[in-house]
Formats: sequence, structure tokens, C-alpha cells
Amino acid sequence: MGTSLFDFAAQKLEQHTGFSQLEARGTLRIAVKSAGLEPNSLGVGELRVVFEKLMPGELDQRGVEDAPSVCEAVMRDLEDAPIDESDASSNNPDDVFRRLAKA
Amino acid sequence: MEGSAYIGGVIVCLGYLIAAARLGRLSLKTGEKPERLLAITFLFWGVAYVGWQLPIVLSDDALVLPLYFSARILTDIGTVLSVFFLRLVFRPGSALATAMVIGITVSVVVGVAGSAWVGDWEALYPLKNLWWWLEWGAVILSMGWMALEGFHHYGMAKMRQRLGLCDALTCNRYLLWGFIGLIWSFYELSYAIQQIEFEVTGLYSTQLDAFASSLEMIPIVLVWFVFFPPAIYQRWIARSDPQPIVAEA
Repeated sequence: MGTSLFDFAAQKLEQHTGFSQLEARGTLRIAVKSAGLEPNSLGVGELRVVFEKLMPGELDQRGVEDAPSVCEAVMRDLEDAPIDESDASSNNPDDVFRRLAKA
Repeated sequence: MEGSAYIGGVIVCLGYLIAAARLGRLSLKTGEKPERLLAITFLFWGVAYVGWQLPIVLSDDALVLPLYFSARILTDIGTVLSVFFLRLVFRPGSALATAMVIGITVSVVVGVAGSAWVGDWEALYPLKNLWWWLEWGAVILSMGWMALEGFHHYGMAKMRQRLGLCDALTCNRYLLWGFIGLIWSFYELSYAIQQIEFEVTGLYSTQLDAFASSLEMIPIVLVWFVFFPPAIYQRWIARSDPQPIVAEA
């Protein structure tokens, strides 16, 4: 589930920037990692924050014109992302540690 | 054993048993595995402390061997369950984590069986009994893994916190979790030194005993701050929450 969301977002980034597949995946991976997230356990909400707050800067650094518009386009595409939110893993470490504190 | 160490043991025992009860109650409510695993881990560790303390309280030497050996088994089962927790929560689907869990489990079982085979039921002779090190190595590896996961996830959570993706308390719990693992690792180191000293001299040194006892007590306090943080602590941590960053473009 998480991996396919990463793949989906990387594919959309590739489409909107003209990056190669490798460049798009690498750029997204860097942004996701610098947000303190794991590419294989991403949620849509988290990915939105990455595209809203970090990706514009990453794209700017790589010479992409109008980076904020590119990010907005990818975020719009994320609404159609093939994900199963019902599995928004209750065993995600943040969720587990938040839940355990309610014991 | 020193009086302070004995009192420390009772406090730690109660701490684990109460933590087990509260996490067990939560697991019944949520039906989730992580809380169930931790509840059983703490239950085993708590009951193990009863085994360590009872012969001293009753001053009955005949109970020492069966209760110490039972306590050793319970402690080891708890340790194995704790690494199942680490894998489930921090590294689901990781082949390395699965290998670690299998390796630790096998080392503990073989270490205990080997110790029993050579007659060291109470794990008292690390110099004569080389099986002792297999069990001890597995335990310290578990605790070290716990520390690494805690500190690693603390670093990641700090980054998420800046973006408003993680709250300050959850972030702080990773840090405390890391310290629990680190202090347990130090405890295991001091335990090894104690056992070697005992094997060589036939005595436990008072200072080392008191030091080990304090190392036993600190993690249970941290466990409480992770899972049952007092309101005042929660407010203090929440106040340190930095403002999330705005878009960097």
C-alpha cells in the first residue's frame, strides 16, 4: 500500500516536471526522508505535507520552473491515488506509541 | 543481597505488574497486538521479579534454584516477546528484523538449555559456562536494538514534528524508549561484571549491587513516563512543541 503510494506520487512528479523516473523517485525520496517519513509507509496526508512544505524547495533547487504549481498539480493527482485508507496501519509506530499512552 | 537492592526489586516488580495490567486492559479494548505483546512482556518480567525476590524474603535456600531458574525462563520469554514487539512496530516486513528475532530466540533457547546441561541453572558461572554468553549476548542485543530504534525514531519524529506530522509527546516517547533500551543495556553489562566478580570471589560487591539496582529502577520510571505520563509532564513536553514550519519554496 505505502510503496504504491510512493510509486504513484513519483510517477506524477515525473509527468509534471519532465524528470526521468530515477530523478523523480530520487527527489521524492529525499523530500520524504527529510520529512522524517519512510517511503514504504506513507499516508496521503503525509505526502500532501511533503508536497506542500518541502517539495517546492527541492524542485526549486533542481531548476524546475514554477515549483509551487507543479506541487499543486501532484497534490491534485493524489486525490486519485490508489490507496486503501482503511488500512491506515494501526501498527504505525506513531499510532502505536500514541495509543499505548492511553493505557 | 543489599537491602536497597531488595527494595528496588520489589518496586520494579510492582512497576512491571501494574504496567502489564494497564496495557493488558488496553489490548482487550483495542484487540491490537503491540499492546498485547508489551503487556505479556511486562507480566513475565514482573512475575520473574517475584521469583528473584521470594527466596530472599522467605530466607529459604531450597527455593533458590527452582525459583531462580523459573525467573530466568520468564525473563527470557519476556525478552523474546519484546523483540517481537520491536519487529512488529518498527520493522514490519523487514527480513533483517525477522532474522534478528529468530537469532535472538534461538540464542536464548540454546543458551539456557546449554547452561542447564552443564548444571548452571541459576546462570552464575560465566567463566566456566560458555553457554551463559549466548543467552546474555541475545539479551543485550535485544536491549541495544530497542535503544537504536528509540533514538532513530526520535530523530525521524523530530523532523515530522517540525512539519506538524508528529506531536511533541509521541516524539518524546521515542527518546525515552531509546533511553530505556540504553539503560537496560548498561544493566546487562553491569550484570555480566557482577557475575564474573561472583564467580571469581564468591561475593557480590556492595557498590556494584547498588549500581545495578539503580539501573534496574530507572527504566521502570521511564516506562511509566512513556505509557502513563503524568499530566504535569505532558504539559511540560507540549510546551516545548516548536511551531511547524511553513512552505520552504
